[in-house]
Amino acid sequence: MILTIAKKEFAEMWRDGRFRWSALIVFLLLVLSLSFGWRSFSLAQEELRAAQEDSRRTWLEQGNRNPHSAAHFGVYAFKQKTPAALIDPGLDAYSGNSIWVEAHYQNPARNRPIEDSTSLQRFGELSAAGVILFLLPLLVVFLTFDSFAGERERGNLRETAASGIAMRTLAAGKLLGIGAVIFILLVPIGLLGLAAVAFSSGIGAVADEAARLAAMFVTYALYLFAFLGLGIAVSAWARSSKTALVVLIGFWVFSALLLPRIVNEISAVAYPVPTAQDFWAAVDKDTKEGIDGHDPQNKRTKELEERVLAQYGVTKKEDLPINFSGLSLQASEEHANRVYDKHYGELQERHRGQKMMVDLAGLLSPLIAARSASMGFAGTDVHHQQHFTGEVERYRRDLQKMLNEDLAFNSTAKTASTYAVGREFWEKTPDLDYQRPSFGWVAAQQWLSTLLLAAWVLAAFGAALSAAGRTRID
Amino acid sequence: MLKAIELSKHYNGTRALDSLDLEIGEGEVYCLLGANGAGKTTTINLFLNFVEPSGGRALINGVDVSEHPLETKKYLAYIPEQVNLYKNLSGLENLQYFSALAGRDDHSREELRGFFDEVGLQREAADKWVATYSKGMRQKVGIAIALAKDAKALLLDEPTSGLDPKASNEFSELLKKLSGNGAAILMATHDLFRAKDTGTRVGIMKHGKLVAEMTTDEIGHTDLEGVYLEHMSE
Repeated sequence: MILTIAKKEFAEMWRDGRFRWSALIVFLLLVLSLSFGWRSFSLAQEELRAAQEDSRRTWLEQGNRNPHSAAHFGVYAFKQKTPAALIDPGLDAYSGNSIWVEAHYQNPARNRPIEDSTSLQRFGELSAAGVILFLLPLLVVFLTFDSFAGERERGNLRETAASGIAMRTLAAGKLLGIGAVIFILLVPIGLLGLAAVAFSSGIGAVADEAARLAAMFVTYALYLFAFLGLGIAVSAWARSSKTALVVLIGFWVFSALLLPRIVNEISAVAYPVPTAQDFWAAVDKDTKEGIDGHDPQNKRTKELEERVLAQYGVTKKEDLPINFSGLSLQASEEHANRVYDKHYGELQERHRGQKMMVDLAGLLSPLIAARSASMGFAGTDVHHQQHFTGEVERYRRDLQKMLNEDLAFNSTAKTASTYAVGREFWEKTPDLDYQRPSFGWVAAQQWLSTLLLAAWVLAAFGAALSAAGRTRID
Repeated sequence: MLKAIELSKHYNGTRALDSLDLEIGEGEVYCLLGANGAGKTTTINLFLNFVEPSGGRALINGVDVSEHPLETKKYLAYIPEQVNLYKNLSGLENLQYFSALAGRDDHSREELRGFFDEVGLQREAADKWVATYSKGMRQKVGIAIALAKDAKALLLDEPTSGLDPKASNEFSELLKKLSGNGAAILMATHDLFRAKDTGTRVGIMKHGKLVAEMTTDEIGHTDLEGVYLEHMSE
């Protein structure tokens, strides 16, 4: 019975010229946004890969140099674009995609695409995820707002009810039939996305990427099904299709346009982050005075000197068989690392706090839950950015240690001023090969948003069935 | 087959229907006459359980409609002033859909086409979208649905208003055929001529009350009009 109704809903919708036109427009927008995404992805990917290779080449070809001088010379780490980002660029425009890896400083990621963009681009990049998250629910609203109210107004509902069918069964059939229409709209999008990603990532990385894509597909399907259930619920509840349309558009405005902005503002107040100036002033203070303020830099150096002299049984640094300044550099590096762990740790904690607060608002807005899951699976959210900066920092610390230890143990105070290493050594330093976290890592983070979305669907479907059970026939 | 026992409906103090007692047996065509707002449509809505009665009971085939709203609808077909079909489905698809909803999804396409023949719809029309149908054609699809459903009782709410005389006549012939097959028919109408011609009994309603009842055998057409006007002027 439900299947009969679903088939009829499907046929009716498919034959509706208005539906075909709006579906076509949305579909073209998606194709357009995917090709934009594809273009900017392949451009950026080429540039970033070339830049990463350049940085390594420059490092290898820097000639003979003192290791610490090389440490100041530094290398660059670039965050490669991931194929799923062509569907949902997420925060990519706002988060830096390159980090200067140098001695003493854990630099923040720089080079934010938004800084170079025109005001038009600032208004909003046309991304496939944007079309799906913001425009497709409107299409679903147009498909559902008169599913009950309109049939009531046109008198169809009386005929249908008179044939002895329960209104709940009718609602179930409509959910299935219109759900199938939505699904069919999504399938070519999914295939296009898969094709684009398969082309751009090479066959090797496809398994993990496919899992992410599948998760994005499920996210979008759940999101639109939530709107489907709501649409039918409101249509069954409302007295007229006009009322249903106004209520549904109102919900869309609230949940997709207003609430995300409001929640962003609130989270920024609840978890304030320091300005760059204050941040670096605090880092500077702790570096000089020690983290607890009782461990100043010159005291630390003095203690290290005494310890090393005692260890080697000499009284003067000049008599050491090693280069004390290498050890001293590494010691200050390690102290600085603790300072950075504290300050960046706090900063990231706050960013995660903001993110958690926004994610929880997914309870009030399916868009927020879907957007969070979409960015997460696409690898363009704050968690992925922190993973990138974390990995680069680990690389920086390893590299600094290697350079400082080479300086310490392969030179002495006498030879220090002329000590230099060459290409052979540079080749031994590791190359930064940043690997994006696995799907399992992402899935562990996205359970909340996914759960919220599933809850939205269940609640919306439940509301649709219960509102249909109570709908007036007249 | 159709039975109302002290059936009443009040809307905020106004009595839309006041203690209606009515019984319509197999093969009977009962025509309800009366001005707009006399309670004819309310009576039909109560039999359909689209509104809850304020008092009394409505029975179809001996089953109370408010207690078993879905079961009682299995026996009946409903044809309003305008049979509201799905416009961008063909007549055949509408027939198939509505008979499937009524639990009769066992008809083959050929059988369904047979119902179209029976109600006098042309076969090529069956595959056209209902949007292209005339009102008379839609009413015929309504009858075809009743046939496909094998309805024991028909509730008709001014089914012939707005039909041209020929279409109206064809419709009446179909009703006679249905009642000949044993269906009980309750028809609300303004058409005294049709009531006399098609009906076996006639009831006149006023302000929610059934004020007069007669069999059509015992009264001529002009007499019916006289009786009707007499009741209206009181």
